[in-house]
Amino acid sequence: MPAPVLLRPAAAAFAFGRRAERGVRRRVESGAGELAERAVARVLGGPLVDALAEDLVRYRVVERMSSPVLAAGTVERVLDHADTAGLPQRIADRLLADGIAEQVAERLLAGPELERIVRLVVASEPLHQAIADALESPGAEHLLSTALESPGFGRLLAQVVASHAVDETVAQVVDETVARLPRSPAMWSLIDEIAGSPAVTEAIAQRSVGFADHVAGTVRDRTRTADAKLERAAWSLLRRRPRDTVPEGGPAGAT
Amino acid sequence: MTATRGTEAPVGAAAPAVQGTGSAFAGLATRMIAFAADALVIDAVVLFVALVTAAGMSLLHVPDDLRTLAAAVGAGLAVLWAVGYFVFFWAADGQTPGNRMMRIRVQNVDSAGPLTARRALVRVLLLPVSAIPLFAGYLMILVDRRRRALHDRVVRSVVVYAPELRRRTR
Repeated sequence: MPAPVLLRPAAAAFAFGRRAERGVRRRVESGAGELAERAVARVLGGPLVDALAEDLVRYRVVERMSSPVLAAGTVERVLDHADTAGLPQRIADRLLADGIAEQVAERLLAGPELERIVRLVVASEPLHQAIADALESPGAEHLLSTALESPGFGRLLAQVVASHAVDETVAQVVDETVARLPRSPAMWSLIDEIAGSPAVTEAIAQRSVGFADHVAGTVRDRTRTADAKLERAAWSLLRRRPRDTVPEGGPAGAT
Repeated sequence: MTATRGTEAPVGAAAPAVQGTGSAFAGLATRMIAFAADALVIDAVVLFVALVTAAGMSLLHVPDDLRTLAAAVGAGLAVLWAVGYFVFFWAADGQTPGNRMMRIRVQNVDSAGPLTARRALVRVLLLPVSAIPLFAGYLMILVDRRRRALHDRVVRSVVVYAPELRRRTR
């Protein structure tokens, strides 16, 4: 009688035993899970959680646990570790890749928070101080000079100047200024001050003297030309040859 | 005789010929305009004084006879003022304000300097004489070699173009 035939009942018994064991284990696991869930639900629904929370607060458990953690520099180490692991970069990449940043931006632009934040920032004294410090720093001057020397600034300025809005604004400002200036007592006092200043009066006097000299010079030139013409006319009337010109040495008896 | 007067060219030095005219002597047009300017100054002063005097007399009750007398005295003073004006400037440096404006100078033919007061007075008194025969005395300027009028010939004076004086700058 071959051996496999002899072992077949034993193998069947073994397989049956295993199936029975798996079935029992499955039932025990499902039953234990349900039992555990029921136990947890009972605990969470009962007064134990409230009593535990009250005890946590009463005995300052969180503070006591967090103090040594903070004192030991654990947070810093965690942050350093996150930094060295490139966590911020990965978070930023993930946010940008998933479009979360766009959603945040849209939400900010749509909501009133942005306006409140801007108002808060603009009204903050540190910001004013920072701007004042920045403007007084040599870097600001260098930045300004660099910007002014750049060709892009020239093009930008040309575009701004050529824009229709600037034309309208300038025309409006000029119109308003011209309309307001005659009504301004300060302007008239300024004009009086300027007109009465010694420098202006001296300049006007010099201009007047210069103008008078110019007019007199013109009159002199023309009359001297007229002198010669009148003489020539007189000599032609007399049908005689014009007199000899007295040499530039001047009057004969004058020297 | 050669003399130097301030910053001006020497009086006895040669009077330069004016460019374009070829002459060192002032012509009729230039002299007439200078005379007109002087007449304007003289008349302005006379008019101002007459107005002030008339305004002052209008405040007082002056008899008509006295008014006539005052007018006659005023006219005499005006003539004296006009004569004194020319005599003073011609005898001083040969340039009245009108002459200075036109840059001409009256000078003695012999000395090339300013006229003496006596000659200047005679020259002033001869001005009407030159004008009486239809301004013939003045028209002599057009045909005279040295552009002299009748009164210039009598007192031996000439009118020359004066060089430009440099203005003193501060």
